[in-house]
Amino acid sequence: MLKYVLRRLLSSLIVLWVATVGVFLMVVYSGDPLFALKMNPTTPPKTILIREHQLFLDRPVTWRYWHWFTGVLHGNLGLDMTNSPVKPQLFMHMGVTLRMVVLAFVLAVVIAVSLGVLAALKRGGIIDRSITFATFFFLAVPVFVTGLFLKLYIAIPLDKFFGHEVLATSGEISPVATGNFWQRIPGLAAHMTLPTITLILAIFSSWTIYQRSTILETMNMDHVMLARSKGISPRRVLLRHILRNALIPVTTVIALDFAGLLGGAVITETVYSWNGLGRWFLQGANNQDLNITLAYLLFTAVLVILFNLLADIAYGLLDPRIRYR
Amino acid sequence: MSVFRKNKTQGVKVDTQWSIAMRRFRRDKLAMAGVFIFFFILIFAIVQTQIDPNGWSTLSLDFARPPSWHHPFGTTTVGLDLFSGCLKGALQDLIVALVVSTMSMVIGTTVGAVAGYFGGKLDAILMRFVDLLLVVPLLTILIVMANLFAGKSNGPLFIALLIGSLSWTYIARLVRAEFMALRERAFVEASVALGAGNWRIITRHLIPNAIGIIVVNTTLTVSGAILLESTLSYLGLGIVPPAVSLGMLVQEGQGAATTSPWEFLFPAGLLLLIVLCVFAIGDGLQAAFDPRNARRKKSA
Amino acid sequence: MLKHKIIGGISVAALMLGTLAVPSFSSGAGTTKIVALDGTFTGFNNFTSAQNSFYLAQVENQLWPSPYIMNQAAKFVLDTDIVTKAVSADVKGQQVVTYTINPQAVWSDGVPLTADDFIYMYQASSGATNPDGSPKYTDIDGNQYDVAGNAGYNQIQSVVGSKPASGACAPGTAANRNVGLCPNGKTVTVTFMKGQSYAEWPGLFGLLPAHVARVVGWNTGMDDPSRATADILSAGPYVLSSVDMANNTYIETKNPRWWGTPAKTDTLVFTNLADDTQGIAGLAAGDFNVFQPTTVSASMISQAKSQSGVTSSVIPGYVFEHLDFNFKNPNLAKLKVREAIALAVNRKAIIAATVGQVNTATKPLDNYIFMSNQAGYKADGAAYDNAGSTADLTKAKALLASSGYVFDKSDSKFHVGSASGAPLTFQLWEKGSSVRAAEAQIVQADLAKIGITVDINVASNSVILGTDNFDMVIFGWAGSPLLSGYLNIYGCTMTAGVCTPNSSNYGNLADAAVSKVMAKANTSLTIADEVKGYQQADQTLWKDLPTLPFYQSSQGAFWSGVSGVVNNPTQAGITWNAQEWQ
Repeated sequence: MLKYVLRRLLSSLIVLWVATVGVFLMVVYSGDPLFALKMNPTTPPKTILIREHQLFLDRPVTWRYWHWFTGVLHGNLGLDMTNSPVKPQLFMHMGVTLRMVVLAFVLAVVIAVSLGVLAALKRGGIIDRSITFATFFFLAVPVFVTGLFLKLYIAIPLDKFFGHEVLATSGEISPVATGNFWQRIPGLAAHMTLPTITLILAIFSSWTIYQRSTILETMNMDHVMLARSKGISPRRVLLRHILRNALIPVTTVIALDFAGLLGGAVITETVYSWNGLGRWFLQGANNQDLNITLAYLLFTAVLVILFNLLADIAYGLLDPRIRYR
Repeated sequence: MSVFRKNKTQGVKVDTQWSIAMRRFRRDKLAMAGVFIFFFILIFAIVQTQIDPNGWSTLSLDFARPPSWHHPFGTTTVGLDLFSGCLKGALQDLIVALVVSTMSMVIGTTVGAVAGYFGGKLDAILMRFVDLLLVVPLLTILIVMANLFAGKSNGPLFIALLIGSLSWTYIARLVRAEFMALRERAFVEASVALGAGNWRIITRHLIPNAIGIIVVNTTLTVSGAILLESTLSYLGLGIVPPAVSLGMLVQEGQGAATTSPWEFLFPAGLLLLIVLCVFAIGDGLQAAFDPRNARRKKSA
Repeated sequence: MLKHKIIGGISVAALMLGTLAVPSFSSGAGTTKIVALDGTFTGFNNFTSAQNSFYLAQVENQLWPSPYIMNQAAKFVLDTDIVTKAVSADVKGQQVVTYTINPQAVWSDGVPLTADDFIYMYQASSGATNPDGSPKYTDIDGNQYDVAGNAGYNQIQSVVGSKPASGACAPGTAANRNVGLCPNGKTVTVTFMKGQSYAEWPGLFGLLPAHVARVVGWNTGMDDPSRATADILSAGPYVLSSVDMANNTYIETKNPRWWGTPAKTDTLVFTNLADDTQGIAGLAAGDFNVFQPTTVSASMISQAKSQSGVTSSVIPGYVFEHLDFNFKNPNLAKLKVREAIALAVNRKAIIAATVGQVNTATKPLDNYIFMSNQAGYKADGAAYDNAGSTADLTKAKALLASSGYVFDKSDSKFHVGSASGAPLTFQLWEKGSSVRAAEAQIVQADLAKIGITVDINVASNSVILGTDNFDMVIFGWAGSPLLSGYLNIYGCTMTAGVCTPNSSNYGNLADAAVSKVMAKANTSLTIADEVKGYQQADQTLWKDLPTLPFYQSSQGAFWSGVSGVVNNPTQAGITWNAQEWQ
């Protein structure tokens, strides 16, 4: 088992390294990050030279990659285009994004599993059909449409109805929030509700569908039929025979999907103006900011690799039939 | 042995996998509804853009007007007819979907087939390549690539090629898994014993058996491509004016959503409808190709 | 599984309860006004090109002083709290400006405002070089000063202090390069180089605390948010009391050392609004009090109208939209072709479809340099106001015909050379927003009427400009009440007998005569002279037709729950008079 994990880790790291080279080249050839500066008629030519020197634009591409790479090995993620260190920015925005993503993730898992089980148990009935319809509906709606719809047609009228701001539509915290952590929770909650709901609606669907079909499959399996025919109570059958088997596959799917959550977070942050990683990356990519793009890439790639590995390990541990050579 | 022709062996009609699946699909009401609506939108859009090719480029002085007889979906902030825009945008999305799904299917099946059938070093290299493409979330890499090509061209075909070049990985993995399983089956061994070459085995025996998986997942890729393209356009990186796509219309319309809601609701609604149809079709195909459904069929 | 449901249920319930309990915003004691900015920054030295941004300027308007403030009418007003007197005179052919610093002026750490602050600003901005080409002044790390703009500073010969508040002149230190310059003086004498007078001198010498910058460094020394409240000293009504760069929130409270009229609001809070389209909704919800979007849209205005309590102000700004011609295209190099185009493109229709929805009073911009609400504006381009009319179209066609293009009746197009030659076609580029796309479509339709084919292409500016990859391109300039920058946009420099277009002259107009006029205007002694020079230049430019200006964008500002806000369309921005808000 350990050997398998190590082998996977090694190949993942190599893949990661190749990915950084690829993204690096793409950003470097994306265009001139100083174009906006050059287009400003009042910028002195000397300033342009100074900035080019600061951004290493006067160095060969290979040198620039090596400089970044060795920096990363020392834990230094470089400076962004405004000479501000990238690492503190990464952690700063990471906290904001993870706040939204982790909560949404946990709630979505709970909801997806519950709905999936419910739909499977009441198969064919009105509950199953409504749940199935809802999951397909939310699977089809783009994240930004859900977010925009909630923001424009639910939050704003609701706030008007209550007379003051019940659901905040912009930012992750009120700018004048005062008081200690506990006093700030209501404000945090107000700002967090809509984005969390949006993210949940964006991700719970595929898990629900998968959970439902897994349960249905399990219910049709021989050992379950045997248990039922033995006269064991349906509830016991459910808990001991069905769920124990049926919850395993969805775990791996969920673990693999976590990194994809970050993609959904990019949109949600844009819709609700959160100062999270997604927006930070988006602005950085649009400005051809090399270090920000690479830092975000590292962050997401590491998460993907980690969760893929976790999924494999979990599957190997939970399913006794799997043995890793 | 072609899956598409019904073999008449000694006067007995033999059902092929494909015909069984299609029969089941035809009986699935939701899936058929999806097919009808999808093709209705497609044909309507094609016809409308042929009749009124300049519908989307004709500027009028009706800025942000609500739906009326002359403008069934209303007009946008600069005075363009939203009805033409939505239909033309839908067409662009469907073109994107077509290109992406074809690319995914072709590249994904090829890579998956080669990796699954030949195994060994070839498999390892190909799978590492797939890993490389999967290590970064699709949206992230698309954002970077969109900026790389920001200056050059933003037509729908280009965006489609971009998305298509990255979305074949899922199909590749599934085909590979299927081929690895099929490879061990008796009929493959028999073909090899009969002297069939690799190419023949792959194309005439293995791919037809995997066609169910390929078709179903291609429809998933189609809906994914439409959603991805509209997300990119929403971020301002996909299709930009004067070209039009539903995602771009939603992006332009959301700023005015409280004062002229039709600018946002119609494109978003149409987008939703198209993706739902694709899902219905995909879900129907999945059920149709699922051999386990045979068990639930009422015995004669 | 039941456990899961319970946990889920409790979390959701907690969220719901929390939302009902939230107040709209909580404030400390006293009045608070919140400003929403639609941009962010990562450091505080607004004079560097790395950090220079409109949004940072909004935060620093109330902190860092300058001798003159630009009011909403684009007029320089002396800020007597900082400088009690400023006089410009011609002394033996050199312009000499004398500032008298307000004796009470101090930084918020108690250090008085002195000539050293002026001397340091000059050293950082001048770009002066030694005879061997090395920079005369460098930052504490030995690197050159990264400065966003050095217009005017590069024409200064010396900055010297005199008349300290008490005692003798300080000797100065070699490290600070102010030996013998009387750095503690309360009077500053700025001498310009001979023949290099700078009429826009009131715009110079925005100041930062020199005694801090000399220690922490100019280039990156003020980028650390944890030291911001200590380093970003203020000589204004407010002081920076809290910096939360993670959430882009900055809080300013009243400056206890402020010696002038106290500000009317106790606390100013700056927050970031990423999405302009939510601005009015935020105002209505009480998220903030003041909001100035980068671009104002028609939907913002109609939303503001429908919300009671939201005031809107839309006035012509300094960003202007225009169509550039690339003189490298041999057809566009012909003046008659450009005139024909100018007679055909209906600018009023373009305005109606775009900015006209925001500000119905917008007229076509008939001046290359002055904005319509600027003193000195003359509608030199009025001849093209009714472009698109039948008479103008006929005139345009006649011009094309007399330039050697042949009109083919069968396809209604002009052809190059002969009727079988290539149709006259231009590649028009724009940047992919629905507004620009609409403008491009109108240009295309209008030019089709006089037989010119236009192909519309979309690409970002960095690909189009500076590489001559275009025939015509639509984009906008952020103009300014300061005129000297226009030499860069329309002028060329004589090198080896050829007039090479300047760096921002993307259309490659090479008119040496008009460049000379503009260069001379840039060294005028008074604003009146400068204005006259540029007015003369503008008349010549309308004979050259290097571009076709479309319109002036409007600068919008919205506020709610606050009074005293005045929309300032210049770079000063909306917080220019924040001390008056209440």
